[in-house]
Amino acid sequence: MRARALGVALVVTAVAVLAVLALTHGPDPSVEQQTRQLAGQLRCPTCGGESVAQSDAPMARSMRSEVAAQLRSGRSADEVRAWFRDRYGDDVVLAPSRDGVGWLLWLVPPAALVAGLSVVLVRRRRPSATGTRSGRPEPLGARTLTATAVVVLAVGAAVPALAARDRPTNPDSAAAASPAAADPSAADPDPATVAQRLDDAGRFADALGAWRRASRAHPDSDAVRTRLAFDLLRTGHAARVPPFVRPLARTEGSGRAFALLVLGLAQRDLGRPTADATLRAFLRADPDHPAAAQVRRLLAGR
Amino acid sequence: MRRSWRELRVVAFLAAAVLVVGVAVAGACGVFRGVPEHAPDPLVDEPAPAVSGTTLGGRRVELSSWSRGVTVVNIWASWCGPCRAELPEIAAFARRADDGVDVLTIDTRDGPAAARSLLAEVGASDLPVVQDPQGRLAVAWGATGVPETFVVDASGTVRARSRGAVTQGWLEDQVRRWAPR
Amino acid sequence: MTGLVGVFALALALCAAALTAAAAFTKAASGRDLPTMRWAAWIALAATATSVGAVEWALLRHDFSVAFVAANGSRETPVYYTVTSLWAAHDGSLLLWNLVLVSYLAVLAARPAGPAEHLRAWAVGVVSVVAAFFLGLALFVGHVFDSVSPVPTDGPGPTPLLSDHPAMGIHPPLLYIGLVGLVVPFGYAVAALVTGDDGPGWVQAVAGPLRVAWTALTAGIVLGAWWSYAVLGWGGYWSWDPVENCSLMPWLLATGLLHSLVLRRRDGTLARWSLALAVLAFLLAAVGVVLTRSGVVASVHSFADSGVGPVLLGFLVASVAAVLVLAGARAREARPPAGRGDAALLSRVTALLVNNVLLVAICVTVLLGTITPVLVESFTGQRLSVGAPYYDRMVVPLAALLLAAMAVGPALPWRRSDRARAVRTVAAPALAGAVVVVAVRLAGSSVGAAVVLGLCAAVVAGLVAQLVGEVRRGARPGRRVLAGRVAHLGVAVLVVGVTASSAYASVVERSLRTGDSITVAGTTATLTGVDRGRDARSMHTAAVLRLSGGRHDGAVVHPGLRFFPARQETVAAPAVLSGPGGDVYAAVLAVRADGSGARVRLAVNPMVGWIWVGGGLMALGGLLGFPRPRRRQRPQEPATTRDAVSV
Repeated sequence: MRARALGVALVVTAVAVLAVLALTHGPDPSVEQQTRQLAGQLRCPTCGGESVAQSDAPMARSMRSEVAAQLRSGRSADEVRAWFRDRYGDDVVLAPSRDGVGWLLWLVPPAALVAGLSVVLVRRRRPSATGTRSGRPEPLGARTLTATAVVVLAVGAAVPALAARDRPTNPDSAAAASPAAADPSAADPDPATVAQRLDDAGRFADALGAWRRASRAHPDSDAVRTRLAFDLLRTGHAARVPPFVRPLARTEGSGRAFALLVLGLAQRDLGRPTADATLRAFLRADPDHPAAAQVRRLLAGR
Repeated sequence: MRRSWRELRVVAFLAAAVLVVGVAVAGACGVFRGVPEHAPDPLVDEPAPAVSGTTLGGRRVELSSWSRGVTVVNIWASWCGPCRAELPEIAAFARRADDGVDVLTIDTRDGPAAARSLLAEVGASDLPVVQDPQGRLAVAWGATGVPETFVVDASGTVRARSRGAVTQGWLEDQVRRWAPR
Repeated sequence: MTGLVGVFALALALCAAALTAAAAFTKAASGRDLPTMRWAAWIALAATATSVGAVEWALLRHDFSVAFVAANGSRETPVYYTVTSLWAAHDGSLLLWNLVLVSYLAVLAARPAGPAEHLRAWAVGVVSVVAAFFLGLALFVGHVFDSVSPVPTDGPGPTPLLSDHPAMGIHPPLLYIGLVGLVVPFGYAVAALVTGDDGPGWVQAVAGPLRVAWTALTAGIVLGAWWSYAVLGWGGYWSWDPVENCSLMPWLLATGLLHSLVLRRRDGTLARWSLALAVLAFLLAAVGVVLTRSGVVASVHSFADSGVGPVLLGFLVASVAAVLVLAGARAREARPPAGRGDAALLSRVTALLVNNVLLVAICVTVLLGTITPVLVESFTGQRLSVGAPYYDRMVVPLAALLLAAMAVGPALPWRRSDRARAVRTVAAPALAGAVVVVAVRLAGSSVGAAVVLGLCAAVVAGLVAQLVGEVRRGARPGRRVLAGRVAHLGVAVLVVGVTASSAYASVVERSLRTGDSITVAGTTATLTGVDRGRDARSMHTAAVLRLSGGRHDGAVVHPGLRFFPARQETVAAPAVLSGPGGDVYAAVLAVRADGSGARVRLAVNPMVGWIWVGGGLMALGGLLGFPRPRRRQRPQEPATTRDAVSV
């Protein structure tokens, strides 16, 4: 009987607790506490994996100031998060979004829990089997064991061999993955960048040599070849340009218009009759090119 | 019936073994390779955030309409090494640029004295610099570090971003691409 | 010379481990007792210890001709940190890993013959194969003993963050003892799969090593959290960092295994499940090794990419494949008989099963959160961020359910559905919990904090009620039961600390000039000046803060920053004043160049110390539970356990 009274008391207590929880108010966090909590949910974009609340990088401090200012102006936590997502992408929030693969992360743990609990509920109801084990289980045979050993050795050797084979040996991919604020032009510039800078500075002769080096470094790059041809033109080697650039002018692609331009200008320099036709083809290919207006004037002046 | 369940379990275990090995091999070929940047830039082809603040010269800037042509927005700070190397390039570009090109820089999390001394040192004192002492402008532009440069076209849409120092050549290319016809 | 000694010792250790494996497998297959197994294992241990000794010798003698010393040694580093710099870098820490692993091998091989002798042979074989693998890794892919020419006169020293705090000498070794120790239950599990015997002999053989590993892992994880708190400057102790998660997941499964063994001893049920847990615990430790050493995850804790990743991945995959093949070969057998009939919903059996389900569910959650970003990014390039908000939302409810099971489980009847008895057992914890929930809520806390604190109170009340009942009856519970209770008490204390410090912490951060103050939660800190100084290794600046108000009125603290020019790194040195009610935590974020001010962060973290105390209690519980040294073949505990329960 005492147990029944206790049981009733427990039920009453449970109801009372639920009532208290539902009817009372939680804490009213200050702006600073809210900022800290929200900052803990944002990832600092330049510090490996730390949250904005943890990191003390300048970027993280700026983001904390921004969060605090927005919260003070009355925005909700959701709005602040959305604001950051707009500017930094979805992965700035430290919880996966519900679309894409993220839903898997939100779904699987509760599903695993439910599955596990159901198994427990089912298993404890199983009727006990009669008697003990049916005889002593035999150890596995030599064949199975050998097979296991073979599998272990084969897999253990194959995976590293395959992975190592595909491993990049050049540091470029490592540089591509490194943090954003690194300066790419400081260390070991690409010959194409050097050549472009020389072009910008008006040093076409020097740029020519640089473009030649760049074309060795990037043998498949049409853009490099076209620029090389352009510098050939600008340094007075117009005669060598047409054969160099004609194949580029024939292929379809984003570089075709520029190639047509260079070809046309070179032909014009050489006094070839096909120059106008080439230049008109250039105008058709890219009517909005920065040099188009100039070319139109050139053709009109004829 | 019971036997076939057991046979099924055997098959299941062996199939799991094959699957694990297969996935691991595939993963090994992918995981240990450097992964290229697939994530699209969240700000490119989006409307540019507003820029409002005070310049070093004390002028008030409220840039929310971008109808003038191509604008280059550069974020820098005097405590950042690559920014110091990049500033002369930006300044030279700004001087050479046509009427349709604007250059605006944002000096983030910095003090005016340090900024002015750096500008004087590299001979870029004529560069327009908006102060961003708390870094909120940089955050509004989604900057992940300094220096970062953005190219905004006449319609106010961000068209390009460069993380790290830029060269005049890059700037000129971008301006050529995105200038209004 | 030292380098040669080290390389030779490693090679000898590798051969000895291989020999141990051969001897063990021969013994297992033929049943003959081979002393070769024992002495080969001891040779392997001596050789590994020699190679570790060689590196330490080179470090202490500043022999910069050895590659590891050239990269990690320095004349200015104090002796203590020179010794610990062995495990400050990847290559050296692999040697420590090997030392721990071979120690386990030697002890296992030298164990006196017991009822599970045939299992032991297979287990020694498996452990020695694993040891041979890691020794081979250190020998062929490690660069510890490479020689450097020309020989530098000094080195950069270990990473500043790892040479600033005495915990560096304890945390990694403890963690390794814990993680590596899980190889022994794994070896026994493979032995059970091969021989088909996973009866009481198996349980007895596994219990000891499992407890050693669990205790060390518990202590190691809590110590690591305490170290992070004391040193990282932002006052946190756990950030769901991938590397931290990799030490947590094996711990969760090891805890589950400990509890499932309780049921196994009693009933003989859960044989296959225990086997699976033993295997998975080790496999997750291996996953942790892969993630930490392959450079695949970005973390403050991980080692830089050392080229070892593909080989470790191969090891992991080979282990998984081997276990699956063996399990597949066994899968044709009938399931062993179930327990002795239905278990009531409110019974200890159900509580233990629920415990296992919850621990595995938490482990699955953490595994998913840690691995998915890595996999997704490598296969699709899409970047996924998983951090504290995800884990908090997913793990905390599961942990709360676990606390509930812990509060009532140990006192419930084993199987009988004696409703009166169940209600009486549940009453004390439930009422205590309800009182605390209401009190905490009325004091103004969130629902989550109130519920969790209430559950902790329920756990403690349950323990007290059990104790009172036993005193009244005059029963003496067995050693293992007492140990479990101490550990459960530790869990409750730890969770109270975690809840209070996260729910009620106050932090304020401001730039101060000399004379300014900053106040948080009744404690005020006034900046009275800025100290500067330098020593052989670093330049340090500190803000001098005078505290007023609160318990630490009048104290002066010197939180600062240390800059190490040799490594170009800055390390924070926060000032922490601890007390039973909480900590005052002061950190300096930046100091003005002219010394006129500093940016200071002041925090009051209530009851943070309870976390460390709780962790200590858990480890103590683990220690108390060690099986007595074996005396013949007497069954040890069941009698007393039943006494404590059956009234």
